[in-house]
This record gives sequence, structure tokens and C-alpha cells, in this order.
Amino acid sequence: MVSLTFPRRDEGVAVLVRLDRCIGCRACQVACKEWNSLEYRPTEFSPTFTTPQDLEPNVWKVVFFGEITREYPTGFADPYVQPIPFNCVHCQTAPCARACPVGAIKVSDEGAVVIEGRECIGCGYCQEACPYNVPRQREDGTYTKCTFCVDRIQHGMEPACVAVCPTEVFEFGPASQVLASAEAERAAGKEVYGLNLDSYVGGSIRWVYSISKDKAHALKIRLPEKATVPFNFLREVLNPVIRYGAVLGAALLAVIGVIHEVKYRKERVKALKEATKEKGGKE
Amino acid sequence: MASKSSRREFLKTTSLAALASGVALSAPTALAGSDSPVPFKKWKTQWKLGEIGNKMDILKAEATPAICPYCSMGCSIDLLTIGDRIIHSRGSSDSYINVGQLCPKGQAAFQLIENELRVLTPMIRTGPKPPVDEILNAKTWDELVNIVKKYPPNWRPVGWDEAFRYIAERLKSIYDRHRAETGAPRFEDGFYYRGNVTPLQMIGSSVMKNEEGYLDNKLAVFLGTNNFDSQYRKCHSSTVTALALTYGWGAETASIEDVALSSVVMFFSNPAEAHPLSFYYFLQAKERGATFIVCDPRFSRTATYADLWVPFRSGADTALLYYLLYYAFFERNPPIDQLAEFNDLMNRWNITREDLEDLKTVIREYDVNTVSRISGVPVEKLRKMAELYVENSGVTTNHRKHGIIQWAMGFTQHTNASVNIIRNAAIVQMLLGNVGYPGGGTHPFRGHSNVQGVTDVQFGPGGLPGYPAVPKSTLEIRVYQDWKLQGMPDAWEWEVPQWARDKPPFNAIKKPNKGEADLAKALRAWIFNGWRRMELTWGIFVGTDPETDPRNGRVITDLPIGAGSSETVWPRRALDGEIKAAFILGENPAVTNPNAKIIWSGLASLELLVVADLFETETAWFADVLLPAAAWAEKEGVFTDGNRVLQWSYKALEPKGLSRPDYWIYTKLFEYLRRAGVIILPSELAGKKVEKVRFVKRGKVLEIYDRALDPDASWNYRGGDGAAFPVSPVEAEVNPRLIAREINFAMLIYQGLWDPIRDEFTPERRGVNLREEHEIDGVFSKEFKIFKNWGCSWPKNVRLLYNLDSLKKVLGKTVKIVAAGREWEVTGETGEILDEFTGEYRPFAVPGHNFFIPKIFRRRLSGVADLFGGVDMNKLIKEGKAEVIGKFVIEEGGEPKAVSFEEFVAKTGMKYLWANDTLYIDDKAQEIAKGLVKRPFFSGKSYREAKASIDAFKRRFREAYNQTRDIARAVEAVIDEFGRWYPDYNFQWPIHTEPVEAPDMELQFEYPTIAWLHPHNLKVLFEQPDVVKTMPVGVAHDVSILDAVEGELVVMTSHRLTETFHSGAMTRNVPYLAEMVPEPYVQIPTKLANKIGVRSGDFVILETARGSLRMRAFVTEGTAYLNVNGKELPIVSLHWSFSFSGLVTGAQANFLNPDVVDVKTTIQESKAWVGKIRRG
Repeated sequence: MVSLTFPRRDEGVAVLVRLDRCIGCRACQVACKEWNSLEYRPTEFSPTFTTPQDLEPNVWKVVFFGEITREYPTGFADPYVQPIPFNCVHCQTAPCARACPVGAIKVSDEGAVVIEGRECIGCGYCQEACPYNVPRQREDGTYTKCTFCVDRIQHGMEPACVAVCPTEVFEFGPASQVLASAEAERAAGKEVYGLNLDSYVGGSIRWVYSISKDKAHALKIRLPEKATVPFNFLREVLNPVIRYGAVLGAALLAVIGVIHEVKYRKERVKALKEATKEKGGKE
Repeated sequence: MASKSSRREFLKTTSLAALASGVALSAPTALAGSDSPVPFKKWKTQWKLGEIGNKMDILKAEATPAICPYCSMGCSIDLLTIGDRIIHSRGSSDSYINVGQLCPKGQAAFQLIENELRVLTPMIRTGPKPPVDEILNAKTWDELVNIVKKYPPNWRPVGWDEAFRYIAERLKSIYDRHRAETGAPRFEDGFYYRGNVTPLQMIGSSVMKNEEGYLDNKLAVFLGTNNFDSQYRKCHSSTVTALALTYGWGAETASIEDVALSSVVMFFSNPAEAHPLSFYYFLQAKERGATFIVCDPRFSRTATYADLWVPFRSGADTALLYYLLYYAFFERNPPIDQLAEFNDLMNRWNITREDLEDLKTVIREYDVNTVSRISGVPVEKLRKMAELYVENSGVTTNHRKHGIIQWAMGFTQHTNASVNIIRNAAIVQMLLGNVGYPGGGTHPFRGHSNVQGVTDVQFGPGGLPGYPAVPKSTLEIRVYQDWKLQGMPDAWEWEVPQWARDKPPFNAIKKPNKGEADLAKALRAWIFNGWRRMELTWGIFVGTDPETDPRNGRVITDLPIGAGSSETVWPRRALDGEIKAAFILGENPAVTNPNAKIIWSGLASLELLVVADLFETETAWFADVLLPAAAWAEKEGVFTDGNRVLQWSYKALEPKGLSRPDYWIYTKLFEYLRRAGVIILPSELAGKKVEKVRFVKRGKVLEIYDRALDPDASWNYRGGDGAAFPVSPVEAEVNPRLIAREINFAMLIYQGLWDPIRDEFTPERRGVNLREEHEIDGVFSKEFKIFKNWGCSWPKNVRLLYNLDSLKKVLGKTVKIVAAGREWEVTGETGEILDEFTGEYRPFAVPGHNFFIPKIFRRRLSGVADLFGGVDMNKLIKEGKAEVIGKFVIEEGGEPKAVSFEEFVAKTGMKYLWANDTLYIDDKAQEIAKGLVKRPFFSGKSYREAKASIDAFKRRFREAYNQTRDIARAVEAVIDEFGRWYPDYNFQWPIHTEPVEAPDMELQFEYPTIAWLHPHNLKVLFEQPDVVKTMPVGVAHDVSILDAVEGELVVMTSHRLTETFHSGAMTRNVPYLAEMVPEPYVQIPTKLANKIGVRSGDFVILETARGSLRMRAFVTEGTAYLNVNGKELPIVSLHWSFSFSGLVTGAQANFLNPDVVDVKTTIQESKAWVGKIRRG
């Protein structure tokens, strides 16, 4: 475990993802690949339209599509599809960076959480630690993910996906300013995701989402209500115990680990099933 | 708007240091300089620009703005290059259209240039072609693909010289045979080509630059063929025709920034996917409180912004629109025709109260229950739709609010699209006071980057650059020669000769005398003006010999006579042996045409097929010669975006390999075909080398000048100076800037794209400011936030067409400005034109732009001088120098006489005649400039007068079917008995008519399809080519034909996605886009899926009268499952941008649809056909 200092939530930069402005065009998904020179990989048909169906080593940003039913302003209840652009949310106190045993995950002054490929040893702790299931392993064994376009934001530019967006979904700026915007959205009656999260991620993330209340149930398609990985959380709490070799601690850890693993996998499967059910799937 | 773009400006253009400090202000001080948390390791805190994606040389790269090659928004893309390497691409931050942003296609467009699959050398086929009958015999898609794959082209790479010589030789043999068989171009009454008979079809793309599409048309004329067309035929030909015949022009009526001012938008389209950047402006309207109604059987990404989603049956569009009028006239209180504003507006529509009563008779038939029964939309939804739209329109709000009708292929691809659907949208917008006002208008969004431009410069088989019709008869040429003798007059100064007055088309002119004019006369004068432009700029001849005897002289015309074949009808002509060769540049009809087997067999039956493209497309698979085309940013030229704004697209890098721009290819083709003796002009055979330009005044023949004919000089585009200095060696050989100058004079609507006084190309303007109040259209620009200093637009930089009085009606004021030394009082947008006296800009359409202007115009030089004052056109175009060689007719002492330019200038002060041809608009022109709410499309009577005949016709149709149980025989019986399909009715108002393949025979009898009014459709019905007989390539005109087919009956329609583009050649070969949509699919409603037992991702089989194919199903509630005429009816929508060649491939939706066509424009009916679906 690496002991890190993280910028405060009102320091550095942040992004407000205003889902009410999103037309689901996926320009962000392409702009990310273009700026970061991520190679093309063949994909398959997706029953949810999300393609590829989740993040991949060469796809750091994916737009998810979730079909729901919604009451329209004109009074008719009709189907509705909500696009959700998704990438690493850059947690306030990034658990992946805390979990990396070799300090390969850097946190910049701006709050960007960046995996340095050359230092990565491929252990996968970051992936396990991530409550959003973001880091992906490349063929060479190293892990990779969205860098917040750290090489752009440190030179006065917006992240590539922010700059390209035709409908200005993303409000990028100093964190204090973005937090204020998010609060304003909340005050205007919108659902805001990302400001009151578990202590595991530091209580908030730097990619904050806002959406009208009548569409808010679409968020769960890719954004978990609980931003935590209980096993890792406990491991961190119990870390001193382990370090001093308490057998009890180890045993407890193992038990919790097993319980967590089982429960976690069940939840993931359930969540995935729910997501596909929306598309008319029957298991 | 302004604050928004300034925010982006800030973010994108501030220096690195400035923003870095902005970040630093909020950066955590605790971390600055903190030690590494990992022992013995340097802790990385700073990244270099481009470090992550290996783009670190980005700071050395040069940025070049080019216009995006995909949709018609006109977004500007900066390509950052070092030499021939693209480092990065991004939206150009200065563009008012995309303010630095892009959609996924625009962002991936660089991969069209750097692409391993590109064709980089000319190639000649060595393998045999797939045999026609094998193609036609295929029953399924897989079978069809297997057949054509058995016959690969086996290309032999060659150099350009060999490729051109090969083409010239093969085409020479076809032309020699044709000339020997027909005697062309020698005929009894003169020398000309019959342009519809020449066995060559030319097809130009809609993503070409204007300079390229223009040369396509020019080359077709030089090759004596009017069989030329482009992709526009298959996407918006019905729009262009319906709007042009109603409003005067076929284009989108307003510019994109104007949609931000709308109060209600009715989408029959899907711009969030097809034109993503438009949503930058649509969302501004939404934020202002606009209501969005989305009419689409498929829940699209546009529908996610709907206040009301109206899934309806494809093909019921006319009925849906009529219910808006039913509500407005019969349900709302008071009815709109009792409003004062309605009376004011009536004056602009050319209808009487009596006409209105006739129209209301039709409207009365579309009450809410009837429309619900036809369209499948529940009554409550229809009511809500009509109320929202009508109550937010200009006529009901005194122009405080306006509504937009927005459409694309869902409207246009029907057999009744031009006469019924789009005509109705145009009428609805007029009657509701929504046309010509900010935030209103008709907004057909064009699919391709330059489909508007290519349509303008290459109208199609019946038209010439700039829209004048091709000559249809030698009589027209004779009357034209007579018009020339009268001094190229405008409509009011023109006397239609007595000997032509009773003959068509001149018998339509009701005011033939000098001093008077009607619309028909004004339009004819405009056509003649257009032909004269061709003669002068191309160095050709159109007229009689001798020139002074138009009535009896020999007709000699280098413009071919007779309208040729369009994109959709030529394949069957090829099967009939009438078309033997085709040039297809930058288009992929093998995928985009309907009824794949027909187009594929048509392509396979050609003796010579020349294709130019970036990739080996499906069309190229059938080619004899494949030429490597340069990509969008490897060449330069003008793009005209969907709302008519002309922008210069710059060249960012040299063409890869041996690839060359299409302007280069066309020019070289001309040179080789000329040398080989394929191109022989009628004037040459007639020995005509000089035109004796003469005017006849009061019986006296006045010598104006002798014009040497030099067609070859007009094809010499080498070199160039000043603003036309060539940008690289390829352009020094064929310079698009010289072609652009030529276009400026060849086409009235594009006059203004080059300012000959200042030697400036106006499409190069990138002004980001709104105009100031004292400037031309300053108040208009400022109040309505319209960017008039960016590029230019046609006509005459008018951005909101028909904007006669919006300043008066919306702002309540008239405006006075001073320009070109005079004061002008205006009430709307006037546009601008160079002034012939001062050379400065002056307002053009004063007091504002009205319907049909400037097809209707006045000309100061009528009877005085040749067009542009008789300047040497070739010299002006190539060298930028104006040398007047013509004389001027003036009256002195009651006697006409011809004087020199200098004398004329001394007398009149008009010294910049070539800048504007002295065109202007006066009260007389404004008086006949009216929109045509009433406009007959066929011979016959008004609705009330024809009603009894229509009813009898319908009864007879039903009866004949009941007797024969055969639609074809019933149609035959009806036509035999009545002489025509839909006898007596002139279609002056639209009516709902069913698609050829109606899902319910009851509806087919009640509202018979209009299709059988067109001979091509009858050919499909009765006289299919011999090879086609007994093979499944017909139509299910009788839905019971499908009874024997297993599965559920569905109405089929098709769609594309944000990530895909038309035939897919430009997206399926682009890796970043292929990754997001790797396969086609059919979208089906959940209820239907449950019925046939499929889930998302399962395969289904779709079967129609053309065959069957297998595709994955995408199951969603967001697809219409309707109740039509009391029966359950699911709609399925196929994603159509796929076929067998490319990086990703899949089944081709256009394999399934029929090749029946619109009765006016021959656009195919590919949005509503029927078939069966089953689990596969």
C-alpha cells in the first residue's frame, strides 16, 4: 500500500456530466481513442447498443444506453433511452492508486488518476479495488484506463471527450466551480450522482453526473449506488493488523474475502441481468 | 449563443500559460513539491502535451481547416499535419456551425485519409463479370453474395495514362456504333444530340466539391448525354421538386442557427443521429422552451428529446400533416382563416377564397378518426400533436412564435413524396405563417456534405448547372435564338414570338407580350438566361444558323435535347440495352439503390463501367476500370452545406499514392476522350466556329460582336493568378479556383462566390461577427443572430429564404440603410449583390426576399448588351481581367445604334457589368413573386370538380380487382377505361395515397397508390425486362401475395445511425466507426419479438417479394406496434448501411425493397414496403 496525498475535492479540476444534454452520439468515445491513439479492435453486435459492451484496454470511454419507460411532459408514458457516457470517474481518494503496490498509479495536482504503464507490474490490485470496474489489462499484462487527458489538462486544454462534444454535455473546469454547478443542478431539482458517495472513494468523484428526476432511474445501468468494494475497504482497515502478523486478522480477512467475493459476484450478475432485462431478455 | 461560443473560444484558444495558471490557482498547495510516496522512485507529476497518445510533435504541426465530408452541416475540421502525416484532428474553433466540436464521424474522418484499405492506383479488370441471370435468380442475400463473389474483378494495376487510354478506346467503340446506328448528331432539322438516347450514364457523387460535380455535368454535356444524375436523386429529389414548385427554390429555407429561434419543431427525421451538430442549435431552442414533436416509427436518439413521440405507420405522412390543417380549420376556435394575419398572408400565396374552399374540401376528409385509422396513431396523441404545433405557429401568434417542420428520408422516399407528402408540408408551413420568418420554415436536412452543392451545380437528367431545364425540343432552341436577337431581355422586355405562342411549353405563358409577364414567362426567361451562361462560359453554341433566322435556320445546339434517365431508372434501361456505359465517381449505387438485384444486374450488364472511389466498394466490384480518388482533405474547393452556405474546404495534404481529385480526373477524361474522337460537338460538325451576336431593333439588325467558339479553352484549367493561384502542383495542372470562377458566371444562383472587382472568393470568408445595424442586413443579422459574414450563401447571400417582411412582422419596423451611395428601405432580408455603378455591395431583393426570387428578376441590359456586357468570358475566368468585346445598343434621336463600352459607360455610368449582369428586383418582380399554395402537378381539374371521377375510378379499381384477383390486371383495366390512373384530378392539393406495397388492401382501394401514374412503375408492374420475368424482383402490390410466406406481416422501413453513413463505404471502412457498429440489425418491437420468440441479438429472417435475408434483431419497446384500420400492425426498421465489401460487412437492407419510384422525381420507395418476419 502506498500512502498518497490527494488534492481536496474543491481543488484541481472536475467535470459535470449533464446527461440531459446528451444525444448519445459517441463522439466522446471516438475523440478519446483519437487523442490517445488507441487501436481499433473488432467488436460484436451488442444487444444493448452499447459497443463494445464495456470498457476495454483500447476503449477508455464507452457510452452506455439504457432503455426505460418514462412519463413525458405531454403526459404520455412512452419508452425512453438514456445514453450514459462513462469513463474512469477519478475518485476523490482513488482506491486504485491506494491499492497499487508499486506506486504506478499517479494522482496529479489536478486530481487526474493516471496509471503509468511503464511502472505497472500487472498485479491487478487496481482493478479489484475499483468500485466502478474501470482498469483493463492489456495484452502485455499492464493495466490501463482513462487518464483524464492529463497531458491536455496540464497544457490548458479540455479533455478530448469534453472538447469534442457537440451538445456540451460536459462542463469541465476548476473543481470548485464544477461543484457549484452541480449544486445548482441539484437545487434546480435534478438528481446528482457523485458528490455523496462512500468514504471508500473519498466521498466523491471528479466526474459528477446530473440528470432530470424522471430519467434518474437510468443511472443504475452503469453507476452503482454504493461506490465501494467492501473487501478492499476492510483490507485497508485491517492492513495494520495484517502487517503485525495477527493470525486472527488473516483468517478474518479470508472469511470476509470469500463472503465478499460470493456476494459481490452475485450482485454483479444480478445487476447485469437487470440491465439486459430492459432489453427484453429472458434468461 | 454568443456567451456560449465565447466560453469555448476561451477554453480552446487561451495560451497554455494562461490556463495553466487558472488551474494552478485551484491546485492543492499541499501536494506541490511533495515527496514521492514510493521510496527511491521519481514521482511523476507532469505530462507533456500528447505524451499519452504519442502525439508529442503536435506543436510542430500545421492546422488546415477542411469541411467535413459526412453530413450536410458544414462543420469545419482542423487537420494538424506534418508533411503527409496527420497528427491530430479537431473541430475548428472559429466555425459558427460547430464551434470546435465534432460528431463521431467528423472526429474519425481522418481515417478516411490514412486507411490501409484505400485504392491507390488505377486498375483494370481482368476477371469476368457476374452474369445477369445468375444475379436475378438469387432467392436470398447469402446466395446473391456467393454468386458475385465467384466473379472477382482480378484487378491489374496500371498507370493513369493506360487507364485513360483504355477508357477512351472502349467508349469510342460504343459511341461509334451509336453514331452509326442513329446518325447522331446529324438530324434533318439540324445538329444536336438527343441526350436521353446517348447510351452513356454519368453519376457524380454528393460528397464531391462543387468544382467536381460541375465538371461532371459539363463533361456529360460535351459527351452529348443527359443521362446524368447524382445521389441527390435518391435522398431529396422529391424535396427539391416539391419545394421548388411551391416556393421557388428546392432548398432548406433557413440557416442552421435559425432553428434556435423556433418555438415548436416537428421532426419527421432524426437529426440527433444524422446531423448531430444541429443539436447544438436545437438544444438552444429547447432551452428557450421550444416543444419537440418526433414523428418516427422508431425511437431514435432525436426522440430522446421529444416532448411527444408519435410512432406512426411509414407512408401515412400526408394524412398526419392534414390533421394539423383539420385542427386549424375545423377544430380550433376561431379557425385560422378567420384570423387577420391569415388574410394578410393570403396575398403572398396566389390563392383565392374559392381556391381555399376547394382545399378545405380535401382537408375535411382528414378528421382525427380517419387519420388515426390510416396512421395508427391514437386519437389523443394526434390531438396533442396538432394543438402543440398549430398554437405555436406564426399565424396563430401574430409571429411571436414559429414552427419548423424538419425532415429527411422518412418523408422523401415514397412514390407520392413530391406530390403529396412534401407538398403538404410546404403548404402547411405557408398556411400556418411559418415560412420566411425566424424560427420557422421547412428544414429538409440533407444527407451528404455537399449534396446541396452538387444538386446546384449538377441538377440531374432534366437540368443544367444552376437549375435551368435542359432543352426539350428544337422549338425551344428556336425561341431561345429569337430571345437572343431581342437582346437577352428579362421577362418584361421579352416578346414571345407569335409563331411559338400556341405550342408547348410556350402556350403556358399567359402574358406573352412585351411589358407584361407572369410566372411562366419569368421562369422561361430565367432558363434562357441560364443557357446563355453555359454558351459563354463553355465556349459552345446553342441557337440557329443563321442567327438572324430563328424560325427557319438550322438548329445547332451543343446542349443535348431531352431529359435523360435518373439514378433509379437507369438500371432497368441498362438491362434493356439502352445504356451501355457508365461513369460512377464517388458513389456506391450497388448499396444505395433499391432492389439490389436490379442495380447489380444493371451494373453487370454494362459494356464499360468506370468507377472512381477511395475504396473497392460494392459498385467497384462490377467495374471495368477502378480509379483511385483523392480523399476530402487531399483536395480543395467549395462545399455548399445543407442550408446553402458556401464554404471553402482547404487542402491539408497531398493525395496518397497515385490518387487524384475528381476535378483532375474529369479534366483528364475530357482531354483523352477529346483526343480519341469520342467528344465531337454538334457545332463542330456543322462547321460553326463563330457566333454572330446580333440584336434586332425595330427591324434593324445591329452588330453586337462576333464570338469565337472555343470549347477546348474552357477546359484549360492550368495555372492561375491572384486569389486563384494554385495551391500545389496537382492544382497547377487542374485548378479548382479557376473552375470556381467559371461557376460564378455559369450559374445565376452562385453569382457572388467570386468578387471579380476585389478578386476575392467569398466562401473563404470566416467572419465570426454578427453584422452591425448600418450594414446590409445588419438589423436582421443582429436581432436574429444570423452569421452573414461567414462564407456566402445562395441566392445573393440570403440566409432565410422568402424573408420578405420579418423585420416588419416580428420586430415591427422597417429599416433604412445606405449602400452603394443610395438609401434603401427594407422590411426583410435582402441579400447583397455587387453594384454595376459603383462596384460596391448593394441590397439585392428589396424590400426583402420573396418566393421565386431571383428566378424572377429584372435586367438593366435587356435589349442593350449580351450577358455580363459582352465581356470575354474565358479571359475573365482564367486571367481575372475584364475585356469587353461586345457593343451596347442605345437609342439616339429615336434610332437604335450600337456603341462601344466606353461610350456606354460615359452615358450611363454602369461600369461593372460583369459583376452582376445588372440584375435587380423591382415592384413588378415582387408582384408576381408569390408562393404557390395551389399548383397542379398533372393535367386535370380541381378537387371538387374531379371528385366524382376519382370516386368512380376507385370503385372501378376495386371491382376490377374483385373480378380478376390480380392488381396488375385491375390497373390495366382502369387505365384502359379512364385513359389514366387517377383520371381528371390535377393534384393541385395533396391527398393521402398508399405506398405501392400497402399492408392492408382495404386502404389500398380507399386510397390507391399514385405510383401507376409513372411509366417506370408500370414497367415494373407489367413489362419487366425479359431477363427479369418469372423471377422474384417484383412488388407485393397485393399483400395477399405474401400469404404463402411463413411469418408475421410487417411494414418495413429503414434507418441509419450516427455512426454509419449511407452505403457505408465511408464508415464501414473507418476503423473507429466500424468498431461501434460492427453489424447491421433490424429493430423490432418487443411485442412482435415475443410473438415470434426472439430476443435481442437473435437472428430473424425477413422476406419480401424480392427475396429474403437474415439479420440480427434488436428488440425494443421503441419501435411502433400499431393498430391500423382495426388491425394490429408491427413496424420493423432495418439498418441499411451494410453490404459485402469492406472492413465490416453484413446483409444489405436495400436487397429487400422495391424499385418503384416517385411519380415526379423517380426517388425510390424505400421507406415503406411490406414483408414477413420469422425467427431465423
